[in-house]
Amino acid sequence: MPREKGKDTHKLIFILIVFSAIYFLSITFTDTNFPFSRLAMFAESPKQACNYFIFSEDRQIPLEKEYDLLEAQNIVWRNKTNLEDACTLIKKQFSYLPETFAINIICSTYTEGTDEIVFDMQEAIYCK
Amino acid sequence: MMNSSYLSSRKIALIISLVFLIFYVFSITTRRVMYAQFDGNYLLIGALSLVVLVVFYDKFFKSFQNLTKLEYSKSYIVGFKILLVLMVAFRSIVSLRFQPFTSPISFLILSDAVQGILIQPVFAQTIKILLFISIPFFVLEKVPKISSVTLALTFIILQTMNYSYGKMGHSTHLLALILIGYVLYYFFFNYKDKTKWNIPIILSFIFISLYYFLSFLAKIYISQTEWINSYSLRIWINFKMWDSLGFNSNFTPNILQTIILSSPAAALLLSLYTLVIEFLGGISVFITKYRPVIYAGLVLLHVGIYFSMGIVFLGNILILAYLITDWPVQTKKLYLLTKTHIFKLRRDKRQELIG
Repeated sequence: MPREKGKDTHKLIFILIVFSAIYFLSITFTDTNFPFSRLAMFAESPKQACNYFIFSEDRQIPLEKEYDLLEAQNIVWRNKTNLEDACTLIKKQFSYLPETFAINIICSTYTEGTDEIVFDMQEAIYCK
Repeated sequence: MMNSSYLSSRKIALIISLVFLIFYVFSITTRRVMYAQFDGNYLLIGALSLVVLVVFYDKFFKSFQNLTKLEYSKSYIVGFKILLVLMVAFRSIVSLRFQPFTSPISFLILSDAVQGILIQPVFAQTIKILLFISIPFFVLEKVPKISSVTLALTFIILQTMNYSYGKMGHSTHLLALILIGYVLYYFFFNYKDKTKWNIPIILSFIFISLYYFLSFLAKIYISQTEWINSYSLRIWINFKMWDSLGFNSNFTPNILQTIILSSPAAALLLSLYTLVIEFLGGISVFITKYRPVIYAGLVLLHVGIYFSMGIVFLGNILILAYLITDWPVQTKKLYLLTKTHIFKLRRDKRQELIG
């Protein structure tokens, strides 16, 4: 049955090629939930990285909303908007979010030599 | 090997590479493609990998020919299917708890009217019912083409509705890919032929490679040096200490988190381990001999991810652990070995007594 085996091999290679293409393309166009990218791309200097964080006021983010909060963070990051506009933007997009929530910009600074990472909150706003 | 299908596969690879390259040029010149500044790298890498595939086609052909020769016991193949179905059912039940169907589906650009229909409870209920109805048909291989497509589609729709913005969670990607593998198996291979029963397992090897190769690429090409020097990992855990009120002193890091936070060297080591094992996972489809070791390493990686970042990849862990080796055959071998050993011991003892 060598012919049959060869056929299977071709089919498998074909599937590999087509799926690589689909998978790479689909991830390219849909996956922006990668925090490392946000950290890297928002770097203002090679050693500093800032990120937006959204928290519900009581620190308790309902489980079913967790993923949406992550997406809200992405929206703010994507638009690189000021925080007041970000409040409006998020409220418009996620009407069911808690009444009040906070957006923080936390930056990390990496010092070479000492190998230390220092974190500080650069900006914060309560959206009401 | 110069037959028509060989040429056509090569042509397809070339065409797809060209499409990738065109997208890449388009993305860096116009920035019309979303987030082109970093996602363009994926396209370039995708194109280059396919060019490599075309150039080394003969070698790939041999690797895949060896793959098709792999033999597995019937109980192992059936067991894999059952494990997959259990994971799918589990993930779907968990999804239902999250009150899905409130997020719009944006993986396709749909009009508001269509989205309105999709988030209707009636539609959601139908999806759920279809998923659970298709499970027994899929397991028993009754109308396999229809049942596998239904299961894969309903699972993917359910997961995209559950996760934010119509995307699938990272922990369900692999499950969905393997389900698609079953769809391809039923459509393109003669599933009634006993010699083809190993195909879903082989397709799983292919998809595992794809999945981890992309994770590896993402870490290298998106974060550039940030992952390699452990910066990303340390930042991720450090950010857990913040909340709306500022520094959250209630956060108590576990042992692994403490080690990462206190020792940059340990963090570096773990980051490098991630990169190395994900790269090996990416090429594991071509390395039959060391695949079990690589899969065990990937299981370890996911356990580490759970304890350091708190992200659960239960589906991946179970699938990888199951694919390490043909467990039913190994158990049987172990049983026979033990039995022979005990038998030998008894015989020796009896002879000793007689003597």
